[in-house]
Amino acid sequence: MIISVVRTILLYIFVILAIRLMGKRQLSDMQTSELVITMIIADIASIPMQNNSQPILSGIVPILILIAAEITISILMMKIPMLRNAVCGKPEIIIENGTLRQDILRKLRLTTEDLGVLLRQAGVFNIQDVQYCIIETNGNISILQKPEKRQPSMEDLKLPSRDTGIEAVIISDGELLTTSMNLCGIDEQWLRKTLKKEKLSPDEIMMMTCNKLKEYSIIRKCQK
Amino acid sequence: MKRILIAASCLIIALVLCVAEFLCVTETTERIILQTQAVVQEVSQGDTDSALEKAVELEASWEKSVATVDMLLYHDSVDHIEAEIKQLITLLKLGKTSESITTCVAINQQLRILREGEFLNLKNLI
Repeated sequence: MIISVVRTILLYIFVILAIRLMGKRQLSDMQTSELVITMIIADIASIPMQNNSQPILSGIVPILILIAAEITISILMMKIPMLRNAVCGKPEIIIENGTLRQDILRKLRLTTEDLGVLLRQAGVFNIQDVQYCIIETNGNISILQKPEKRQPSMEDLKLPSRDTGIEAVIISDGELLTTSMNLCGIDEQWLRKTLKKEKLSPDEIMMMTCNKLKEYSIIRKCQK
Repeated sequence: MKRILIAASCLIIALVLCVAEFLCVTETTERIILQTQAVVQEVSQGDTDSALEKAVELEASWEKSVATVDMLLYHDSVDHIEAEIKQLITLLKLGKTSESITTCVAINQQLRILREGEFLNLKNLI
């Protein structure tokens, strides 16, 4: 049994490494080929994990080949649009100017209920509000609402805008995050001074966020 | 560029492992096949002592390669051949010549299957 434990740890490390070598992508953002390869890698790795009589190399070699194939295909897809279309498919416009394209709906084997779910998840409750709805190659949808239904921007309203920069977490569970502090352009001296003003020490803080304008918010730790 | 290097490295490592496996398995199986054939020859000529000597050499030769072969092939197949070699020695010690020839044939057949399984041909691919 100890052999299984060691083999599982080795293969786990190898699979994590393999997935990392293929590039950072969330499961939901994966293209078809990436999803298939991830599933195959998981499947291949599980066999030598369960079966001690199978050499571990018989799991490692196919995974190495799959990594090489995946990277090669992704590089070729960048260079050859025809290959990209063949492997990933093309985005399809499913709603155009509020009109549902039923032929595309049938082609994608989507029901009106499926489309309704996707639209509602994107915050659209009326098909007439949609100027364009595109089914992307990874299965996600992109929606452009009609101009009269879009949320106005500060620019549309001709309001002065304020660049606050990114709101970064500078203290997490009592720990100072120097990278985030650099991102906000603040130093430890400013932080110490601010905490002194708030009569707090870092250990008492669960989360502190700050932006470029040095506007901050603090969440204290709960008393146990 | 970095991704191309990763892909190339993975491919090279995989190919090196495949070639190393092929060379190791074919060399080991061919060597053991020849040694079992020598045992059969000695038994056929009625020289049981010499056959036993050759079988012991065969066992030593197998044990020398077994650690590497075990990393490359199904452990069950490797263990099975090892058991058959031990059985062959016992049969020769007991003077059971016909059974020892049968065991040699079985060992040879298993080794041939292992070796043929490594060849890149249509039969193995399909």
